[in-house]
Amino acid sequence: MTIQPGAGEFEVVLEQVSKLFGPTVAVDEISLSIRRGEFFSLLGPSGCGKSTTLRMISGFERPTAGQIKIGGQVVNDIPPHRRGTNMVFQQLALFPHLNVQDNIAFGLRIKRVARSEIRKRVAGMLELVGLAGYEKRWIAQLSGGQQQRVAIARALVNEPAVLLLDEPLGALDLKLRHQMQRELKAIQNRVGTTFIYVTHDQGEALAMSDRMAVMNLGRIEQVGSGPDLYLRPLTTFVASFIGETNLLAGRAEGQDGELVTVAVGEDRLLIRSRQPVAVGQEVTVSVRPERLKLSSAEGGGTANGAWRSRLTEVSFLGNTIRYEVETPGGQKLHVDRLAGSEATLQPGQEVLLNWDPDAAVLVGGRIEDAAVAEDLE
Amino acid sequence: MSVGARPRRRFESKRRARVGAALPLLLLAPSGLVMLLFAAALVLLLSYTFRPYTSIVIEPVWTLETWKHFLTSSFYWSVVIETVKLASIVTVATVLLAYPTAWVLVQIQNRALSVACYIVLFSPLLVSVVVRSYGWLLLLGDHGFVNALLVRLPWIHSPIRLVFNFTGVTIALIHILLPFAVFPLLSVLRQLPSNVREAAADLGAAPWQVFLKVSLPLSMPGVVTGAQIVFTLAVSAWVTAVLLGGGRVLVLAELVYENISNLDWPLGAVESFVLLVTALIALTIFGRLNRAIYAGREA
Repeated sequence: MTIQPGAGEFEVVLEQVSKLFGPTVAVDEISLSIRRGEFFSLLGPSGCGKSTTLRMISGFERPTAGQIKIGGQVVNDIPPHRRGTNMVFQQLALFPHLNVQDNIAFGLRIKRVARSEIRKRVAGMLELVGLAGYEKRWIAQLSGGQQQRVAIARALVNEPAVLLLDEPLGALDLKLRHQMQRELKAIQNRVGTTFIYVTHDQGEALAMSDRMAVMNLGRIEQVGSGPDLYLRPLTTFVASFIGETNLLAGRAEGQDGELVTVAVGEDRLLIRSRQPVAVGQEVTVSVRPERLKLSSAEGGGTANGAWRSRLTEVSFLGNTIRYEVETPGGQKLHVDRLAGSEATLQPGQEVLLNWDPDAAVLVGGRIEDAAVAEDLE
Repeated sequence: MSVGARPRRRFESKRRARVGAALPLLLLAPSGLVMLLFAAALVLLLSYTFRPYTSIVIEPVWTLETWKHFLTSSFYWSVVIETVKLASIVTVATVLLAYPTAWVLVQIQNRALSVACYIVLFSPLLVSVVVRSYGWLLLLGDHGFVNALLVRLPWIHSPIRLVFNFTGVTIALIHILLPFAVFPLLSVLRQLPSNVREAAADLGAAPWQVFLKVSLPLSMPGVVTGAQIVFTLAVSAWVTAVLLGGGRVLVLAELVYENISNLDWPLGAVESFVLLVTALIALTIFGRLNRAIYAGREA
């Protein structure tokens, strides 16, 4: 980022913002600073408070506590129609009684922009989203992807300080979704507007965002770039929600410099940790399946720290092969290998399980707090 | 498809065809019968319009006399105009009243209050039009409830004539027909998606702009349907016009009644057809309106 640090760096700032619906806490004292021109995602399972957070930024919900600042100004009391934000809605919410051109011009007409200026900007937007020539079409005559583009154009034409997007690609099929992700990112690069994007799809967030906040149960678990969150998750929830991982509950047995020995049941694991760990402390370890190495047990002696394990299951996933391995201590781990790279191992076979101390990280929280399959949808 | 599946499929489709062909016909039979009787009655009525009127018997000769008599008389035309005027005023006023009524009904969150409002609004439908018209006669009369209140106002010194004139008929018809306009509006307003209103607000529209630019246009089909129903009922209203008009408000339906009871069937039939055509013209105009609004919404 080349933006200078200072007062003007952040477009949207949330300070200890909470939202209660009756006794239910939807958003629980979250603080966030979103940089100007950034593609920022709010990522989390359904019901984590991400949409409520977005609706508070847009003005459709009023925070129960805390402050929201847009462009340095506190906006808590400003109704949605007077905010410098525009939103792309989950169900798009295009106006069915207006054609494409009138949908996009809606905001400009409200603001009484000159007719010639409106025509110019609408044409520019249609060009930007690749819908030139569709001015007179009715919304119902467009495909899902085209409606998507109209919704984005309708919001962007107002040149908002912040564009809010509430899972706008949810209704599209997978192929189109990937295409729209690339287009959205390209549009954002071109216009340079701050985008705040709500999604439950971690792949989508990783593909598009500069930074993202992972939310769970109304709180922010971690804020960071995709690689940050993937390689250095702070909590079991983040580790399990972003990508896939093996979580192991263990106890720190000793520390030698940055290397910590963790006892996981009967097994011993070597981990690099930048924070000091007290001996005897309960810890949770996260190891990505692709960072574990497998070799057949006949292929030489056991390397330092390797576990002699048994292969229990092999599944072919296309680009990768997933192995389920059971360690001598009874731990079940997933290991991913690129398909076709090596000879396929057979279930029941004895294997050597190996890892790099950098591959595993210590995460906060218990294994029970991990994202479950239903969260991932 | 595999070849083996074919014979069985053909057998099934044959059996289905036998039952299937008969079923729609059976289902259509009752409505077909009703339609047939209705059409026959209309044809018979139309034939009466071309018969000469001599006391009691309808003679087996054809003539255009009755039509000529009706269409060249300024009296009959004034009745047609009065009828259309009454129906138009009632339609506009009823829809204007029905819209805010339906709007508020949809907004009410409290269940008990909402049920109470529905009962107040729709229970008059259970009472006969005759009874309701008499009720209005009592309310609007010179010494009725409404005038008792009005004369208390400092600038009103004597009761205002509210019955046995156009005003009384209009007031009573608006009340009687209000539920028919509220019904279609309710269903349209309830389906009005809240997210398009939010989208409009997000794009800078103040609440009144959201209403004018989004809610109102999207609920126009309900307005048109309501107006259609109200106009059709108002243009053929008879009881209310007779009771509250007191003979001073002449509408087509009343002429039809009088001529039929005077046994002038040909003239009654002509008037019936004029009434029918008037209603059809209005329905066509409303239908056009509706289609213009809907244009393009469907793919």
